[in-house]
Amino acid sequence: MSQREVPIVGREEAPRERSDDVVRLEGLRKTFGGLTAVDGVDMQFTRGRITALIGPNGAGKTTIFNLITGIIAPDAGRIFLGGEDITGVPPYRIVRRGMARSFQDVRVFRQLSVLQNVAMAIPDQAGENVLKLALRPIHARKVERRTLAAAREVLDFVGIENRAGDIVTDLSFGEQKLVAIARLLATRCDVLLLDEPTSGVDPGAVETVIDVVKGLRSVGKTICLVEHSVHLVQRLADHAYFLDRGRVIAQGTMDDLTSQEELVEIYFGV
Amino acid sequence: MEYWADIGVTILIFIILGASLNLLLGYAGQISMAHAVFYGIGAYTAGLLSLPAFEGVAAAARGVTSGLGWHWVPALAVGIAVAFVLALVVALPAALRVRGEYLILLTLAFQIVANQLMSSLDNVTGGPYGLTPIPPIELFGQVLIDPQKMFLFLLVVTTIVLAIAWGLGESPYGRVLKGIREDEVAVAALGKNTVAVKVIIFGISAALAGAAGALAASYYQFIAPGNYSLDLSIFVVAVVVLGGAGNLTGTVVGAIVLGLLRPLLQEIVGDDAIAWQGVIYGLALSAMMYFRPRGLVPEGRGVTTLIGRGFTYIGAARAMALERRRQ
Repeated sequence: MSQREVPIVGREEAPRERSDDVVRLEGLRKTFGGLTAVDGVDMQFTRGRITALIGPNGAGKTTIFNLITGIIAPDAGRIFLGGEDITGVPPYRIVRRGMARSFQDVRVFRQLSVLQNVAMAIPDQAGENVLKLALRPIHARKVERRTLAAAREVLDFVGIENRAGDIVTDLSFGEQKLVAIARLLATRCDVLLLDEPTSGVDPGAVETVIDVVKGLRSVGKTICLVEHSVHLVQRLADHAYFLDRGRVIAQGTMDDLTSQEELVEIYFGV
Repeated sequence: MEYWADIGVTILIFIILGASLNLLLGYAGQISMAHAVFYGIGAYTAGLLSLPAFEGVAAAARGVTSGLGWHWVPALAVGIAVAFVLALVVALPAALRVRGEYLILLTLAFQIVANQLMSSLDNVTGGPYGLTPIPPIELFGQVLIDPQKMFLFLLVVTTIVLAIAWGLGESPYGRVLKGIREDEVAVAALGKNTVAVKVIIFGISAALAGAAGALAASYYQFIAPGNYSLDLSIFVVAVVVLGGAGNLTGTVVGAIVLGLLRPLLQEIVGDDAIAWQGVIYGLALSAMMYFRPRGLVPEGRGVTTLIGRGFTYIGAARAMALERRRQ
């Protein structure tokens, strides 16, 4: 399969510290009532590599995403992005610092068109600021034209540019997942967290997703994905963390992990 | 003619109130029950500033508050600013939360408390009897007391307000508003400061309502707490929902339909109209929920939708005729 060309490489300013461990979690802990969802997790996501979080339902994978992106606050532990402590930073600021996520249940903007969904994700839009809109309307309009063009480019990259004008809920679930991925790419973030990018997606679209994710790795994005399909993780991940009941119980390449019988047992519950 | 011009003035005010609330309710999906109070805040602020300054015996004899005697333009500007700033303060606690219920409760409480204060602070607001005479607007040597003149003036103002609302609603800013309506967490996950966006749109919405309040006060020359009650807040919500949330054409249609209801009923039924109005409201809104849940003119549609499928059928028939001719 030919390598897709990635249209958006990154934000203009590079992160100050170019350590290869772009994201680092130290002793992350979160309890909900009596349940410890994440229990002292340490992790690193490395530049240009795909890291996978695997494990049975309720292992704490999505909670880790929610913690890293600031949607919920950890009870203990620290989160570093490019060497800077981002624990407690609000979600939108974390995105502006270069880390964004997708959601398991797509969470597209249901009444908006595909193009508008993706355009919303483009950073630094003059027209999103009321003052700039009022004082420099022509400039805002020019920026908006560029925004829409950039959004189309991303849609083209994931292969659904032909649906740009459609209301997003008119698309199949698989296509909506592609819209969600396009939206994620449009943020121009360097660190991308994908929450089950292929669940509920038809086989044809799965290949597109795999293709897109590999393309992103090749341009040096840092990728972390939560995925149930062991098969898919095997094809994509360079490194995997195996989680169970909020703890990392093993890590390594997928071949390492799948050769350990007790892990397979936990995962499939046999 | 004067009678209908006066109704026209009322409808234009409803359109301004509806369009400003639509930005908040229809575009951003945030429900405010305090729109009438912000309309009132604009009216009271501008009214107090422009009311003539009575001094000495005259003031004592009147027993009411004396104004500052400002020109209507700066009074209007300050009225808008006060409504804007107060709205920011009211909206902030609710904006920090994702769930919209807080805003409904908070604005409901603000509506009731502020409306009550308009009655209670009688040495400032004139109490239940209100303030009068607010001086009328003077423009190019014309005194806008005559309904027809006021109608024309307000028509221009309404056009400007609709242009502002449309410009905001259909801009990238409006896109973020719609995103917040659909899924606020997802918008924040794209790097947008949703709290700031929510607070600012609340402020803009209230400021436009405040402008309408200031202008209306100088037309009616009279301000009293009863004009800014919860009933009016609910009425404006009804205008937006009936017309079609997220569609400004819908708001215009909604304001005309609901604004004409009472005068038409009065023509037909006579003085019992007010009693019937409530019944018809209730029935109309229930019917709307059932038949057209997205309003008379749903989001993303033009006014032609109103005329229903008639146009679609005509269009289809024409296309078929063309096709046949081609063959």
